[in-house]
Amino acid sequence: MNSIRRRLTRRLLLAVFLLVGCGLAAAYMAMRTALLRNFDETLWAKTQFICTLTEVSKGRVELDFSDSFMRTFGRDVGTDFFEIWRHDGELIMRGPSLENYDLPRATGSLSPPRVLEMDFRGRRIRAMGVTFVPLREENEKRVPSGIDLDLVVASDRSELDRTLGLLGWVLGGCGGLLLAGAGILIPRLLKRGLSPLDHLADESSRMDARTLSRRFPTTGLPEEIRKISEGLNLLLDRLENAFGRERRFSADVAHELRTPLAELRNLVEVAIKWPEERDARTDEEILGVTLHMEALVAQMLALARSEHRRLRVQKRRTDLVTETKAAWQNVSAKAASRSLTVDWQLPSTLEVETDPALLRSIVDNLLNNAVEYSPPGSRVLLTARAEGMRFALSIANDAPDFGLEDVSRLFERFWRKDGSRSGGQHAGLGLSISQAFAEVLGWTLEASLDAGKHLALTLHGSFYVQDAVDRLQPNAPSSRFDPACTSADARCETVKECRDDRRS
Amino acid sequence: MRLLLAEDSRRLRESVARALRRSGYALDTAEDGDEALWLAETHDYDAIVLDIMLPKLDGLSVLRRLRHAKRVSHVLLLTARDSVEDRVQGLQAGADDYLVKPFALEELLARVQALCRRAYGDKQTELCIGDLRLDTAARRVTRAGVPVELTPREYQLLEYLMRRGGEVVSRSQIEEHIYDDLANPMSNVVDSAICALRRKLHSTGPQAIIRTRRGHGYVLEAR
Repeated sequence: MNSIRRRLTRRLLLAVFLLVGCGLAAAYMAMRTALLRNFDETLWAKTQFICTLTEVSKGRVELDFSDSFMRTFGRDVGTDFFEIWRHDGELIMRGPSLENYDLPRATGSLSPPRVLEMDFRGRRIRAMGVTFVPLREENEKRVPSGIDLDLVVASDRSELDRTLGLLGWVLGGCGGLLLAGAGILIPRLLKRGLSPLDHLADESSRMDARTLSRRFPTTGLPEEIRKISEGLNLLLDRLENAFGRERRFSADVAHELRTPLAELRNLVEVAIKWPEERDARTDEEILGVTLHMEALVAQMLALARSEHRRLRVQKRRTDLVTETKAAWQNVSAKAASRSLTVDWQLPSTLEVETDPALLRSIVDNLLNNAVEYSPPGSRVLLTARAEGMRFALSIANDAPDFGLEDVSRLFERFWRKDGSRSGGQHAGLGLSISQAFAEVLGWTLEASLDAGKHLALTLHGSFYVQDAVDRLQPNAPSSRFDPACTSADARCETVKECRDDRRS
Repeated sequence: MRLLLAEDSRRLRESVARALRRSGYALDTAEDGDEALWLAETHDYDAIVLDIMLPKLDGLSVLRRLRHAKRVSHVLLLTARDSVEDRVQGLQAGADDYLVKPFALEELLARVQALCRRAYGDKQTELCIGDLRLDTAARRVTRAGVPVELTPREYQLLEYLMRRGGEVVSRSQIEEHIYDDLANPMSNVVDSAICALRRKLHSTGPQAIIRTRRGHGYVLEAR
């Protein structure tokens, strides 16, 4: 199983093994070097001592060997050895501990002396060979005798090897204990240290679509886990909202269709039960219900297509002001019937590169909303302005019953301020569709409510946007959309169908 | 029987109203919650068909206020909401029945009829006084075994009198339960209807079964 804990355990154990191993090896090597240096210094001292004691007297090389000072060279102790040769190879003297055996003759200068490792009579010895000139006495002075002598001094290193062996065992034992301790502690510490992660995994495994309201704990956690928890909680917020929206959408779709279906069924059942009740008005009502349902389906399709980027966008230079004024003509009669006044704050022209059909659909929806929901006798304000390379088209009206919470839900599908869906004239999809269309065009549609309860719906965009079609799937099936289809009486998808329908 | 139908969808309201009126019910309609509450508080309806999602004041609020005001009219909730929670919420608010849109017209009529029966504490579908029998399920009236043909309004009047058999029922009570607000309160529709009903009943039976208590009203009883 590929688990972080196991992987970390393996890597930490390997790291500890390497660190402890290297550390102990380094310590051993340092100790060994120090001991050998100490051994060699002692050997060197002995060598110098013998060199000093060796002198030439009356042409003879003599060594004032003293058992009391050089007990280790004696037969009894026998741990140190020396042997002196003339430079031509003639043996001058060997230490008592050598008995009749010879040391290998290997000499060098006094500095640095030559050090040799060798076996001698079954023992490991360390030897140092030098070539030196003994002194002689002349006129009570000690002067070089002029005779070159080769000296090899050796010491038994058994004691040193035992010390090194013991050191090796001690360090090895410590290393073993350390590794065993690490092998026990590291997994446990990791398990304990990673327990918040396990807890988080357990919590997340218990999450499903029904428990999206639960949240991960964020207190008393390590910083790293806390950040993950907070990130997951934010994700859950978004998921919960999305699921809520989807559930609301499903319920709303069902609800939106149930009422016209009930109307249709009742009209037909009454007509069947009491045939004499059926008249032309009954048929008109049935047609009205059918068209309403058709419009609802067309709106939902338009929304789905725009959300899936399956609308074909055909951009060209379009005057925003002309389109807005033309759209107002469609609602001017209704505005007049409700005694609404319109305040135009538009420049003479404001050209943008856009799809005029989609633009018209957006503007139609915004104006319809403004005229429909403004209190009678109030004012509708239309503003358009350029801001650098961007423009803003704003349609504002009085909304005395609106609150900020309503503004945040304004673009939700099927949302209406009056939840009764009164009369079935508005499905609550117009603003959702407008926002989706704006996104297809690379624009944004935003709502704001000021302190004076003026609701403003503002379309923001660039004059010349990199074609939003670029962001569409190149080979996705697409469809043209008629602006009229997003209005409340929309009933068809293509321009041709709409025109045919209107004629009929 | 007099009903109140509160439904904001014009088409549904009109088609259901047509069906209920054709079934002989006196019917008032309301298109929003405020109007429904006002009508329900000022009239003694045998049953109320109440949509939940009404403008101005939702149906559940109307229902709660009615129950708070001790109004005991039986209420059938009519709604597009079909979840268990919605049904439980509606019934807990004081509804007597619940019908989800879209619904079968016959089912609505049957449920309304059942609620009207319950309004008089009667679970029987056949009412019987003397030799007069009224089958509410088949909507058939016989006297001495002979069928009597009645208009829906006459049928409702007879059913109301039979459900209150032996009791004196005033003209105003008959107006309240049999006629809707469309009837002219100054007209003598009740007297005319009683007269027409007597004529049809007496044509098949020798004895008068609907009697007049002068100054009080009418009583339907067998001697």
